[in-house]
Amino acid sequence: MSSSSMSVNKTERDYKRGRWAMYLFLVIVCLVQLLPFYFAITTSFKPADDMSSVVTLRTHDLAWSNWLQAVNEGGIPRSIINSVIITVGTTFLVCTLGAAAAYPLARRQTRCNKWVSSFMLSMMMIPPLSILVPLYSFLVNINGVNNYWGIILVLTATNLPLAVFLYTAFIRSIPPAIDEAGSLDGANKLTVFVRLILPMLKPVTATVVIMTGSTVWNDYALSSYILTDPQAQTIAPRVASFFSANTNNLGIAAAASLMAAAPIVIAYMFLQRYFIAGMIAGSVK
Amino acid sequence: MKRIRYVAAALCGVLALGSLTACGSSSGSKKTVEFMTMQSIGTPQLKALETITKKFESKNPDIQIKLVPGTNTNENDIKVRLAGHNPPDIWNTHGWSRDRYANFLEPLENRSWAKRMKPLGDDVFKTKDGKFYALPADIQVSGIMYNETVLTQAGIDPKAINSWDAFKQACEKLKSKGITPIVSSPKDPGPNGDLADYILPGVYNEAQLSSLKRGTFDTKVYEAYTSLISQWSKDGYFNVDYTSATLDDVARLMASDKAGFYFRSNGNAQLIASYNPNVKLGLMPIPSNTGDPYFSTGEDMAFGVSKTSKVKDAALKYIDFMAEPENMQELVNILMNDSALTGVTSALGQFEPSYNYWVNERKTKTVPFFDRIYLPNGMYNTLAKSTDGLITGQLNPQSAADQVKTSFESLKNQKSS
Repeated sequence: MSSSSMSVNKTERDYKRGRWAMYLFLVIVCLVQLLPFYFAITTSFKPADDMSSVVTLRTHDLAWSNWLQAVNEGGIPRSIINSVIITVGTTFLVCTLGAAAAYPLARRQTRCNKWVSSFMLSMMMIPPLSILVPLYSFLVNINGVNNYWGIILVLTATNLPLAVFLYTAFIRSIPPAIDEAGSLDGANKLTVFVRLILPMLKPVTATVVIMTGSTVWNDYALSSYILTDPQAQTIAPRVASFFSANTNNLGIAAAASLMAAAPIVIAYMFLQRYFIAGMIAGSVK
Repeated sequence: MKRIRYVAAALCGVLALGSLTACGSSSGSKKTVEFMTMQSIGTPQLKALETITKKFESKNPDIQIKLVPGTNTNENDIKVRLAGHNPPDIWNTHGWSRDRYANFLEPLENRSWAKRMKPLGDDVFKTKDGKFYALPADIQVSGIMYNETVLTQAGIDPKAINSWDAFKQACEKLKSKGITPIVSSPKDPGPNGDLADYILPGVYNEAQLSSLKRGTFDTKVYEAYTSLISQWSKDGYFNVDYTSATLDDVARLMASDKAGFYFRSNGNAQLIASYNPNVKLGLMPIPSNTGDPYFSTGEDMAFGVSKTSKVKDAALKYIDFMAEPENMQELVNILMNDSALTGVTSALGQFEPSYNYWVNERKTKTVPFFDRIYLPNGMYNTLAKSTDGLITGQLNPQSAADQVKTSFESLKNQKSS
């Protein structure tokens, strides 16, 4: 065997080894990611007096009552509907207002606009809970507590600065010549934005949708104070209602958590193509 | 564009519909009373409240009681709601009806059931002029909870443990048998906070207590407590999984006969019994350095009515209904404590024999919860954190006492300013 064919074989072997190592690594990463789900599944099928480890899967007398209680007593389906309404509403407002605010900030880089951009970014540094009491008092005064619109406005406000930042950065990468071409054809600023710029924002909108959607879906800190009515509660505060000072209900809480995760997991499975495209948008110009 | 318009229109429709359904509970001619229960979903406590509520609503069709289940952050929820001038109509005061919430609650001493309050609760619920602000279901009489099976196996008689030296010997016996002597958890302030709250009354003598109440914190006195915990930690008495142990892990250790002592109220036996309904638990008084062993007493499950409630009459009517003996019995049956009202039979469950022995036969003295009487509001978390530092070894007895002193003086100054 010639030395060149030997070196080709060696390269192929190295390549195969590399691939196997990569697969092994990916399998380990997948297992680590799936472990919490596995533990939640094992816990959700155990009655309270089953003290076996969470690693052990119960194979007999599965405690379906945990799932039934999560639905009937826990009201999980209702809280999932609430979460969907609040997540969709907030995400829609964040995308719409974020893009609309970002357009003039990106196109007219005046000193005032730079100041406005910096001010918006600085808002991201304020922990929402630090303004909880005045925020809550304000919501009480405008009757926004335990109403969808109240929490949607609050979550929109907390998520908007990042969205404006992302949209501004993205719009700056779109050549201003497109705006000028639209103006030459007689379009006003609003038409240029709606007809020309907005359709080009799909990739960054996907990023904003993912970030805002997951943040709002999982929000606990603000929702737990603003939504205290069981009929209006979202999924995170609802799951927390299975834990109190003296008594917990781990099996039911695990079943509720799995039900809560299901819509997001299903949505991701069907829309992953767009999500991945959105996540890498902006990394390549 | 058309598609965007359709999406926007659909969303507006959903939001409009949604906001209507979300606030639907306040519509109609019914008076809706919001009741923050502090009990988690699916627990016997919440189920008992649901049973009583259904009975009440069937007799009072014009009143709807909205039971709000609790979470671990219940006390913060209440504080925020009080700060926002939007308290619930009724809430579970859980130990603080007099010392924290009195300014926000309707006084209840003129209600028809007030004369049924047991004298044991006078120190716990009432002010000096006899006012009180919540309907108590039970009175916590707390000592050291023990696993009877484990103590019997190790040849320990809990009735003979009347000093910390005797307690230490019992711990050594348990340890030699491979059993965890004391369990605690840092995941919730409760176990470590109670550890301090239960032991501290026996560290101070009367003169020192008076001095503390006047606002003088002596670290040397407090070090008697911190040294005790630090030594227990060094001796390996606490559960080996302490830093990661949750309340459930601790309850499982007790339920599976792997641990001896737990410094928590009887109500916590619910969680232990949920893991093992056959577990045998008992209650013993807390040894003291300055006198006889004692029990700590305090408010447990109690319900106060907001004095600014728009449906105060309906809320008070519900409270009066709960106080009726047959309704109160529903609650007391699952609380494992002494009932606070006469006409209601205490249901201490497996604590009955030890409770009867210590409280009724031996007339063991009772003292009020330490932090409620001698420490400024907000100190409970400091007690829990400094005890955690002692157990993990991050604090020594002196630094833990200094930490508590700093917090004591800061909170005391806040209160007086």
